[in-house]
Amino acid sequence: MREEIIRGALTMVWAMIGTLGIALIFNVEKRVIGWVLLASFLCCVAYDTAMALGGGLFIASLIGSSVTTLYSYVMARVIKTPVTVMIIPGIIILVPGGMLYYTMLGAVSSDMAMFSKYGKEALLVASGLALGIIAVTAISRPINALLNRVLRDNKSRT
Amino acid sequence: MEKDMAIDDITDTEVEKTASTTVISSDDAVFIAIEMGKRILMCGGEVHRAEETISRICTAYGAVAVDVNAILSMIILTADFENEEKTSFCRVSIGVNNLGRLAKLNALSRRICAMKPSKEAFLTLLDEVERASSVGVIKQIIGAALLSIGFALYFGGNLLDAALSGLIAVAMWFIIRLLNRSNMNAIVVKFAACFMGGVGALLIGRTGINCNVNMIIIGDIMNVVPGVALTNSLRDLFGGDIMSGLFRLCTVLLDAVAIACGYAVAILIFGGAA
Repeated sequence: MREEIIRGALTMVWAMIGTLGIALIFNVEKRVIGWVLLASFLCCVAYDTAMALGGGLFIASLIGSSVTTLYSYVMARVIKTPVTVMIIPGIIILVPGGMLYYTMLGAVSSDMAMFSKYGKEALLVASGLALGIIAVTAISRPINALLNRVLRDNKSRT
Repeated sequence: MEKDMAIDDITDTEVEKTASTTVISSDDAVFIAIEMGKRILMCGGEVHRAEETISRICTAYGAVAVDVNAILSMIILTADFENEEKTSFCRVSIGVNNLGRLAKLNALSRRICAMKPSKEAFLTLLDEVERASSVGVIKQIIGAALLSIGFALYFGGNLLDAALSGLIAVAMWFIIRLLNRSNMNAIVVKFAACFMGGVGALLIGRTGINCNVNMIIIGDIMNVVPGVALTNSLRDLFGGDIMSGLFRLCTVLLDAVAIACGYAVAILIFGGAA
């Protein structure tokens, strides 16, 4: 049990090192980097929790990406930065790079079992990831519009 | 951060000085709006954001009606300034993703709407933003190495795999930079970089060092995966900008094919990954 926790914690550290790397490549501002790392941490926790509860790849990546996207929308308002700046580095850990590689490896070494296993998994993770972003983006527009109206009303009253 | 604020303060007063003395023509207003939209698209912003920025800036400069249509490769704008109507067209080339610049441009567009600078003042402001948000070579190399190291470990490699992965990532970064300078087709560049990265990883595997070639390659793949384009294409597609979404989706697919082919050819030449 304890070993598992340590391994899980280490995985999160590795994920955050990777996220820091992409934040540097894309030149994310210094004041935002901490929040981006938190996004990737949340994404990792949500994904791992969903996996541990037996949610399967699709559900886990759906939950991971929607939690991260939701967090990004909220934080984008709070620290005043475009949503994209938060989402893209935050969600990178869900990109099924490993699975895509094994799919390709299966294809070039004519290992059909490997090809179809990893191909299906990559497809599931990618579609869960996409659906999470889309779902939150879809509900965020009316909510954002509502928030803007409420804030403007408050401002004009005071 | 504090340094940024200081720069902002100086330019604010400069802008106010110029804004109060000159009247901005509608030509200049359209120029400023289009230029901002173009920069936002080039550094990896969504189409929706570019369109909204253009329309807000035009409105701030006194346009009563604004029609703007942007896709990833161009912007068309017609703005109605009470007594005259201006139409402008602009070709946008795909730039380098730079989220820091995107954030700065976003802040700049708010300031433009609030202060309505003249064309000259705007150009200095823009120049300043571009200079403040250009990415240093060292920062990019460290980023590329960290990304590969982090993900080689994340996907189950050990520390040696991660270190080698980081090393190859830096080599690939230099290859991409070199090839991009020679004006080569972007897809061919990705293919070539991935091919050489694959060859490098497989060669290291053949030397008999106790490392996992798969983990090295996976770490490096995360460096070239078109994550920004994929996320943006989805957001564009479901935000109603079908054309731009498809445009970006196509670039994602082409990139993915180029990456897969690059590594596949390397693996085929070596006759297997292990």
